[in-house]
Amino acid sequence: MKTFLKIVSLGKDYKLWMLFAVLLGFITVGSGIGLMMTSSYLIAKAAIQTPIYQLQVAIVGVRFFGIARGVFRYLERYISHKITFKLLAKFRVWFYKSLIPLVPSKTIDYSSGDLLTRSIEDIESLEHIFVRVISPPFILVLTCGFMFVLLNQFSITYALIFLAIFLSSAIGIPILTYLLSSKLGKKIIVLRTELKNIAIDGMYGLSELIIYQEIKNWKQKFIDKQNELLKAEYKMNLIKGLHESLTGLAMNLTVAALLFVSIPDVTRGLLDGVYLAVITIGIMASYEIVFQIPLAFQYLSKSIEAGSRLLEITEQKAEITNNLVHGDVNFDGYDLKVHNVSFSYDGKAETLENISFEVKENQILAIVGASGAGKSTLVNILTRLWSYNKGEISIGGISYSQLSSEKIREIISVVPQKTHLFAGTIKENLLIANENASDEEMYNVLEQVDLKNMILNLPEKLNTHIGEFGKKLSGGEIKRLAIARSLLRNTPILIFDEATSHLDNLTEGLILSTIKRNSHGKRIIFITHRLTRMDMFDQILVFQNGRIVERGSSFYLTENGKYYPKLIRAQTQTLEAI
Amino acid sequence: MNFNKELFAFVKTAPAKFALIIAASILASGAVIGQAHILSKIINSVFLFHAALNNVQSLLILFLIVSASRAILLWLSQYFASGLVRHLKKYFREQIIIQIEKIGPLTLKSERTGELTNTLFTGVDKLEDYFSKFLPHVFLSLFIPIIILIFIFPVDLLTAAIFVVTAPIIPLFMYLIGSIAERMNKKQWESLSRMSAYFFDVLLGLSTLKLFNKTNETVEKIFDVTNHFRIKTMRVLRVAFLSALVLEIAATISVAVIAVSVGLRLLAGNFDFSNALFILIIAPDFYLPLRQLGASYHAGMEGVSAFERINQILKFEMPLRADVHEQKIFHLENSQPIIFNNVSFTYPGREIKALDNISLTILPQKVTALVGATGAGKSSLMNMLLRFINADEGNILIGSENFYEQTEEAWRSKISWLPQNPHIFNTSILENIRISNYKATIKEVINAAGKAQVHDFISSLPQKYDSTIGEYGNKLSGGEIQRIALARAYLRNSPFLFIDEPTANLDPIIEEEILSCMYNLFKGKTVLIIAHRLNTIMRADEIIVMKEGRIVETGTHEKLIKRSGYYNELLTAQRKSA
Repeated sequence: MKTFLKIVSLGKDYKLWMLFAVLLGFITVGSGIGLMMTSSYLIAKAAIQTPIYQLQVAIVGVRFFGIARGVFRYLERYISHKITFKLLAKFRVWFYKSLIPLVPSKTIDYSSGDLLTRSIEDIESLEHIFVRVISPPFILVLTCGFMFVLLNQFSITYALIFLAIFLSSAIGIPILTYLLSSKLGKKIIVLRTELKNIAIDGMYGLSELIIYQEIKNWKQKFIDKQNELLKAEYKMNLIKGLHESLTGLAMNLTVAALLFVSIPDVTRGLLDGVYLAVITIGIMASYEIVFQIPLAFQYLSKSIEAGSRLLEITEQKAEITNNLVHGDVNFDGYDLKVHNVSFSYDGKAETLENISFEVKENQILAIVGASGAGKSTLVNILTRLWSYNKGEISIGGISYSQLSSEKIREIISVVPQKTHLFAGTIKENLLIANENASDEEMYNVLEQVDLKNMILNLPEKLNTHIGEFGKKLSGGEIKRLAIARSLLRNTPILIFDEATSHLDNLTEGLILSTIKRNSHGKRIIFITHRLTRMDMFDQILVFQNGRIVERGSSFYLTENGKYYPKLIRAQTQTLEAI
Repeated sequence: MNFNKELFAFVKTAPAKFALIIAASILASGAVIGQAHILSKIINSVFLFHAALNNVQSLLILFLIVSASRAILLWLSQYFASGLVRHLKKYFREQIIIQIEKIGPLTLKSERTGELTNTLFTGVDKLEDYFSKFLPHVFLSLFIPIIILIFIFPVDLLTAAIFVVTAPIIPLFMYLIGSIAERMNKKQWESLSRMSAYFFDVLLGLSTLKLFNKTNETVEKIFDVTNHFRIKTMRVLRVAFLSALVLEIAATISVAVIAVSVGLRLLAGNFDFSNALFILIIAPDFYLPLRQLGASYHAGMEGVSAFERINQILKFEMPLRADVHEQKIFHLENSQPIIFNNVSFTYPGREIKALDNISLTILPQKVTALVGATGAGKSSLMNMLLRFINADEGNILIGSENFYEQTEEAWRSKISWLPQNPHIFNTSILENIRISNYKATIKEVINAAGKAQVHDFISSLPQKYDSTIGEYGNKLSGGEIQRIALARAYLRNSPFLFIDEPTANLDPIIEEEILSCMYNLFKGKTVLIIAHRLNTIMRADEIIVMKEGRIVETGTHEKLIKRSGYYNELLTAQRKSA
């Protein structure tokens, strides 16, 4: 319930619109009641030969309510859908904003496409929260109050009997079925997850299952688990099936109970017989809204499920609390200094231990090592996406603890391992890096990564759309565009995180020369597991299991290193993609 | 109309259940007619004939009995619907699971796994409402109005006429407006998917935006994009909701018309009040099935589109080879060579042959290495021997027998496979190793783990061989995963061994250890290995060099080196890059 309130409170700006929609909904239901009551009044009066002029009001009433119901229904739906879309925008922005400080954490990283897809589905499933969950109970309460006042005109007994049965069916039936099914509901969620895991596990390991002839066992496992799930879902459906039956029964009980108390009143002359029909039919019409309540409960539990999945993501503790730094910082150059930095996290990320190094102006540094050695962790720490546990990092003599994340990212550019290009044009993707860049500047950096000619040959040049995730470009082109984007920022510190590892040798060589050419006035860190043209670097740091085990120039390390020559040898012994 | 004959045909697998759903619902409607009749009788006799409570008491009790039966009948129809749903969901999911083996691991690359999981779960769930709601409503919207008409005709011809005229108007208008809205909706669909795609794009690229300090600008853009979508959608909804307006107005206005016309005839004294009340009470129920159909129309549409995806999977068939007349079990050990004669293969939907006229001999109990650049056809050749793809042209022999005439089962019981990226199942380590040989004793498993040098690691875990490996092998390092796969192969101990040598950039020291464990496995087996390492290649008795789907050279390392052909080129290119 807490989850639900948290989600609902996001829409508090639209309170008045919601109130309006609820009123329209009530008028719609009310018109239905009005139509049926005036109609029955009309025929009852007619049956006792009332003069026609006395029936004019009723006739007009019948016509009015007949039309009003349709019109108000239309308006209500229109307004509630408008609210729905506004809420959707709110939910999206809320989710996006909450994610900003969390990305990339150890649980949500670049590759969490699946997780994000599910979150987007969850957000979309919240779109019905107003129409199906919030609105019906309010309409119900208004309808109930309206009927109470109306019946009280005849007798407080009628009103109280109505109130008792109406409310207990609106609240009691969903609660009854909830109590009957709450255990089952939890069981279904667990079984569904288990079944899904069996399916996914088997699909990923399909080759193994087929070759090792285990596929039959897997299928059987799936079938058995599914039978369990279907049995539980079947029971759940039987319980849900009670809703409509019991609500209908409650309606008829109300009718019978009121007839039971009102017939003697008619006999004793306390109630005009005309109203016997009016009351009966009015009650039947008022149950329209009660039939919607069980659905509201179902959507409520669905919304809570979706909401708690989203909150589970958004309420994670951010890795970094941003430092609020006021005023300008006076940097004394932009040399990067890392001193005795250590990092550990409960087993999920690579660890770092006592990392120290320095990058000065005009220097190019390489960091090499096998996968899992801690290279990517270092990048996330240097860009302040994660914080380190121990040690000290500074730029131009100013410690990270005195710099805001924004400031750090103004100084450091990264070409990450997995590049994200946005759906849009080439130009738009470049402008993200530097919104003031001219076409000339863009072509300049594109030339450096050997993309200029390719782009000039496109009919729309820089304005070419590159599709979702840049899918109209080849893998190498995506990488090169990402490098161009970082070069365009022209920051004093540049980090390349496995930026060339998926490029062919020729392009890799070209980009390395570009980097070398552009190193003037910059500090460059080049992270790679592929040891290509190592002679180009001023210094090489060799990482193993989160520590720097060797450092020096390529020449020095080849002669004096222990681990480095092994890395080199392992590579020369391997035929990779040519 | 989204009736879809092919989908409806599945009802025939459980015709009795479906018939019972309809029958129970129709009987429940019968009860409603009965209730209306009893009610109008009670009110009539109290109102006009001054009957006292004890005169109508038995009728009131009858009313309650009919109400109770109606509730039971309604629940029974739910009961049958739940049974039908259970039956059909079981059927569809099991069929899809069976198809997954046919689709095979090659077509089922990771990107399709997500899609398939989605179809298997959400897709099949969407059929639930189609069968339990939409389809019954289609039938009921036909039957129930007719039954009610049968009762109205003898009572009042005019009312019956109003019903007969208005009933078809509703579906007609719904259809007309629906199709206009649908056309608008199709255009809308594009902007909807563009909006979702934009949101997804932004979430996935959040780290990138963060590194470029561009997160705040994006918040506004999300609002803009969603608002833009809202304005466009509301335009469509304005039209789409008209169908609801027509439905509502047709139903309420005909009630109003009937009430007024009946009232006027009552005044004239040529109509019975009891009948008039009966008509008024039953009128909303006449339109109810049509309204229910309107409400479940969307579910029907979703069901059909989900079925289209499911059907694609169900219809997948792997073409059989024409030369196979009868499959049998070969009693082969590995004393025979495997011979390819002019084998070609093209992946469906592609033009270039993946394997182009391949002729080769894999010698028994020798090591054959496949060498070549990415895309040269090494994996296709191996996949053919794993029976994941079948040759389009040419034939494969084992000794003198046709490779394709032995059953897949029989062949696979003779082989082991070591892939580049082995899948670790979400079960215990013991089960993960034992997957290759279900009959193996724990002692044999430990023995195999020892040979793969992973026993010590497993023993260091708190639960040893019973430790569950986290989802998708998260808790294991790349080296440990390779070793578990190797333990599987040791445990299998099969005469044929197919290996795709791992290239994961492992720590060179660990890599050497793993490779030496792997080489020990080769003894006495017929081995085909896609080789990337010089050490492995040099160990081979025969090297097959491939380029662009063809075999360009064969021979031993020494022989090939002397030839200074393509093999030599591959080696020197690799040395140069380092």
